Amino acid sequence: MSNQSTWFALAPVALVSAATPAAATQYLSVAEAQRAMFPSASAFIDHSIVFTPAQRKAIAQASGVGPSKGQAVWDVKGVSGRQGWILVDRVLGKHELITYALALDPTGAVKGVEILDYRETYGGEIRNSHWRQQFVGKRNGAALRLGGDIRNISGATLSSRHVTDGIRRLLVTYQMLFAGA
Amino acid sequence: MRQRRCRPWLGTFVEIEADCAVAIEAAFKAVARVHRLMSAHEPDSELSRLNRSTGGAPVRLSQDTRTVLDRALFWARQSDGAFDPVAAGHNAVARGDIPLHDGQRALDPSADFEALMMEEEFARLDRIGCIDLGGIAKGHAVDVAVAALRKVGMTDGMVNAGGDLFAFGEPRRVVVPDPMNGAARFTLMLRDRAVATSAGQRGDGGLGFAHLPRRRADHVSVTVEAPRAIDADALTKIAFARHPHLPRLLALADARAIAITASGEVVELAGERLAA
Repeated sequence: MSNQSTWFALAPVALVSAATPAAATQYLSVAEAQRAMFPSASAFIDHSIVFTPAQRKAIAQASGVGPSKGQAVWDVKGVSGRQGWILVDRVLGKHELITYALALDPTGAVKGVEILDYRETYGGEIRNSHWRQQFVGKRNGAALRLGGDIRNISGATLSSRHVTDGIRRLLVTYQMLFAGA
Repeated sequence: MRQRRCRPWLGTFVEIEADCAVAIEAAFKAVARVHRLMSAHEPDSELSRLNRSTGGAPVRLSQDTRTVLDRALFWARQSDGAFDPVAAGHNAVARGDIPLHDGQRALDPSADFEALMMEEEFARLDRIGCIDLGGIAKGHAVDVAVAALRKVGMTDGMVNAGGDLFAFGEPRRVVVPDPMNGAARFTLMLRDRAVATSAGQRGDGGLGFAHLPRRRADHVSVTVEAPRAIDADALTKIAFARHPHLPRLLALADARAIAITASGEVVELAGERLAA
């Protein structure tokens, strides 16, 4: 998952969020993500912590990204020992708030990333009323239900750079506080 | 039960929807494969090695990369260079969107996509250039993800890689917003078809088009619908360049193009006005 942030930089950026009538999409709950990422786990042991100021500073310095107040972390147990870790984090993009889960294997290597939910951070109401007023829809006629059948946007590419930066911070957090635990 | 997952790949968010988690996993695997092969950001991707091949040994390419380069060459030639992944790459480097990796020498500003020499599975750039497949490989990633879903027996599904989208089975309604204000401008019902949109980027000073250097019209958004996402993706760039033979190029791919103008009008680029 390294360096994937701005790969397709040619493609236009940042319109899906501004335009999404379904301004929030939930893909998975934390519990669903745990089961999806570690299907054979027998227990998820909560090791979530609140950072000390010194920890926050160290993580920010090592990752180049300032952390939030704490970190949601689960130690994933299987019948024959540790299967890995799950860290859940939230990042703020220019117009969106994204919650995602990072799964690590027992050695701390990235096993997977799942977006849990995606939300516009402002302007949703204004845009939604705009959307109702200005919708033309002459090709298909039927009125549309917000958030129902409208989940697919062909706007333009939204950058995933904030998530990639967040993953870098989580890997530093893991190395500092959980590796070897 | 229909499930929808979303993961960060290709520099954007890729959503995959199908009835089966195992099928979704197989489709994400295909997307990840395309990412690893064709990322201009990964220094050791096939594409990055090709970008450093001038004067050296040819690079052996995977079937995926050959498929994308072959189709890119097709569209570059058909469009008389309006679609040009080397020009796009140089623009992206100049804007700081693509790094120059260790071992990459100074780009030859006169290089274009004709610098690509391909013979069977080998390729080389005969002038120092930087190919960026961002204008076409995302479409290919969608196509291979859809193929992966179908291969494991899915009869209904959807793949959306940052707005390059393909739906099959149950028809999906796809909204195309106006980049000026986010208002939905038109919708398409998609079934066994792909759609891709290129549009201005909303920034603090209004819409930016630096990523679409060949833009010639007053369009702020161009959407192309086609049987394959790889073609829809490439054709949005050609349509933005307002190629004089766009209707013929669209016909080559059984595609159609719809633009949103700066004043919010929706126009079919073959000429027909869809909505005022």
